[in-house]
Amino acid sequence: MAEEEKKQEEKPDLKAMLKKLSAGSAYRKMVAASEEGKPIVFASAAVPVEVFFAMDLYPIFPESLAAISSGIKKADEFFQIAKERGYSPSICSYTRCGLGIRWLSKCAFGPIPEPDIYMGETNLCGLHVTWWRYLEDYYKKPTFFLDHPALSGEVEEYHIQFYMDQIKAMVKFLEESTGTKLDYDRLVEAVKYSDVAGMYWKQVMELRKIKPSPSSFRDLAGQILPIVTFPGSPDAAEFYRALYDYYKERADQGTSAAQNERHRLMWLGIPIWHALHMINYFEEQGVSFVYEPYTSLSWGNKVPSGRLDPSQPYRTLAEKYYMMMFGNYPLKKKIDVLSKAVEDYSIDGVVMFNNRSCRPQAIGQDIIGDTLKEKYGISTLTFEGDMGDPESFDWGDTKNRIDAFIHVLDGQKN
Amino acid sequence: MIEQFREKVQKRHDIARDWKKKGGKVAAYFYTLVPREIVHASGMLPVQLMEEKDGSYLEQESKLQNFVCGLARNVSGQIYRKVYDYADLCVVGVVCDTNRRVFDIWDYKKLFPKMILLGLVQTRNEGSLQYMAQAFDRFRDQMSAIVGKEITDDMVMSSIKTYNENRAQFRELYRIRGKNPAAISGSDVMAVVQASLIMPVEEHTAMLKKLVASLPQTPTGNGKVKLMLSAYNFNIAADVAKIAERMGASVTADDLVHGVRYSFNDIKTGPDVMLSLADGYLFEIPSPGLYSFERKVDFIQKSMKETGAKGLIYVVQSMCDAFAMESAVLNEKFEERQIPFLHLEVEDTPASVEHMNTRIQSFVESLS
Repeated sequence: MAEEEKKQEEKPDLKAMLKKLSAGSAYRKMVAASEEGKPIVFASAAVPVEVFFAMDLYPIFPESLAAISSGIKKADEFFQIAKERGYSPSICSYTRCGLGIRWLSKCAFGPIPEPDIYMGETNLCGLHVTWWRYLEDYYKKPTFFLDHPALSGEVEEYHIQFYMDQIKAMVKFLEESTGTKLDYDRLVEAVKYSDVAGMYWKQVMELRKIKPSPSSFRDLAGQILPIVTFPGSPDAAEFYRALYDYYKERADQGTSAAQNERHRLMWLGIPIWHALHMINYFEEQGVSFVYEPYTSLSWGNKVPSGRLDPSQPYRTLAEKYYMMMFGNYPLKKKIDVLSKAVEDYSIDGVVMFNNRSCRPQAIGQDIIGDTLKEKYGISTLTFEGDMGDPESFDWGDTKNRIDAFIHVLDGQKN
Repeated sequence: MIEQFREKVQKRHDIARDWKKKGGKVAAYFYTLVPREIVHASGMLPVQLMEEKDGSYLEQESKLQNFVCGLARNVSGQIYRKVYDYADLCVVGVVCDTNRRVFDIWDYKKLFPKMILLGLVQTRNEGSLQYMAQAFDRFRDQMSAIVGKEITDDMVMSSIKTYNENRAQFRELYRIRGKNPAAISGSDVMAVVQASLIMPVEEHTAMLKKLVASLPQTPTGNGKVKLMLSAYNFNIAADVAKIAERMGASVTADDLVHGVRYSFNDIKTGPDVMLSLADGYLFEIPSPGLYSFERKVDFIQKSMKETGAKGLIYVVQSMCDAFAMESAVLNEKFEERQIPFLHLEVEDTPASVEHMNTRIQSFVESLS
């Protein structure tokens, strides 16, 4: 057998690996776990998931399910029931869709079991607090909040100490609620896998500095899911190792999602899940997205060294989850970080998703755009919409504006 | 008498400027989770950033998206127009995504000489109380550095007592209004509350004492439909109260965020001053998520019962997602408990007020 063919055979099947970690697969595992009597946790994103893995608990993440439902156009009934129950469209679409999922006890993949525990996080946005308080009030199940105060500057030791105490309190709460003791060795193991997954994810992001960029934002928006929902599993660690190899090879070969990449952009905001084809539309015209805070800054090993420390699992998880919340940093710090990204990733334009559903991300975005424009002479495009709810989003109008924007980018280069 | 309170609100910027002329310093704050007691102990005058009834702030000058709540846009518009140019400092206590992010913008654009963000907790347990107390202690140190003098525990304790006197008078005002709604209108009560947020507390307490003493305690008006009002935007709340009163109703109770916050419970004067403050501020405010839905409905139901209110007007400012969600949750509870209510989601504009007119009239008539 030729050496090249042998190599091909040895390559891991990325699609199969991703399928194993997909939302659908996670859903099936969760249902099976519930049938075996294992506790199910209805959890907010950005809670220390490694603890769930170490305690053999199975999570349901309503925000991820809302994003997926929107992406595959199966969110209508969830929005509809929220509307019928008097939930104004000014309320975040993740919340409305996530509540619909809970009320109807089903998601895009099928019925969901009754959760045993609810777990919220207070820093993603203020609505998370109201959302999980409602779940606590309505379903009367044990509920815990990871309290995560706002930052006015850098993360300091007292923040980490407080959050470390929060994680310990979370473990105690889970132990009391489930009757299962945390296996410390399993937590250490989960942190090790999480570290490997986070490290490779970071390297995947770094590869996007190469011209042309080997990855598509649209693919990454799906590939990020395991690092959000299963960072403590060996499968996730293995997947990100393989993902890095895959993109490395593409980078070495000069393969890109954009045809003859001629412009490199930054995307500010959450992906617009119901209109991800927008990314392909850019790529078809030779324009790549090479950097987004959503993929590069919010998940993975956001600790100063870039590596988690399994020998201190509580501390390292406190650092990871306190530091990874890009939205929690002051505007000046955000601008500094994004300025560096413009330089490091050779960015020529910024697309700003003015997301009605996410005020924390939308407020101040224009200042970021204006500052980068002034500093680097790059162009910006702003469009309004909602990450999950397609109502009132006008693709025709947005497409025209994208065309005009690309025209400006072309002029900028000439 | 009530006109004196209205005048104070109208001339609040002059009051602050006079304070400065006399050598004092002014701390603008935004809004309910900023412990005014610490500001007071520092010797600075706390002045709340308050919504102004001028639509141009919203539309032209706020520089915020139209899906951001009108209160934040209005206040931002005022700041860009330098309405608060006398403030030496601006303190923002995080209560929602919007007030935290507008802080970021004001800070980045250096719209105040100094700015402090109070990042606080949103749960209540031993650890979070300690965190809150430490956050207040750091705030005390920051204030101390600004005014150039030590702020001792005794000074803070003295300020707590000063504010507790003010709270006691508020409780008395609410008690009398509950028994005799004809004694003071709903919009007048709002003027009293508003004045408390922008003037020296000692002066406000003295005025309030006089007002309370002047109010008839025995019921003087009969036959009116009694209502409770739940709101947080002063202009909208005052407009709703005026319309309801014009339609023949009287407002006998409210749960204005600011009123409840400062008046219903004293801050305890325990041995650990910062812990006392933390205990007083944490979870006593009826804000979505920070306050149990059941507790809020319990409070509303109890207030309505005590004051004979037959219906509730629950007002949400457009684009406030937390209150919008809370209202959806509470509406179900009001229905379960058979509390007659009118839910209004409105913007602080003349068109919204006009729209409310008909709905409030219908609601009042339905209770008659």
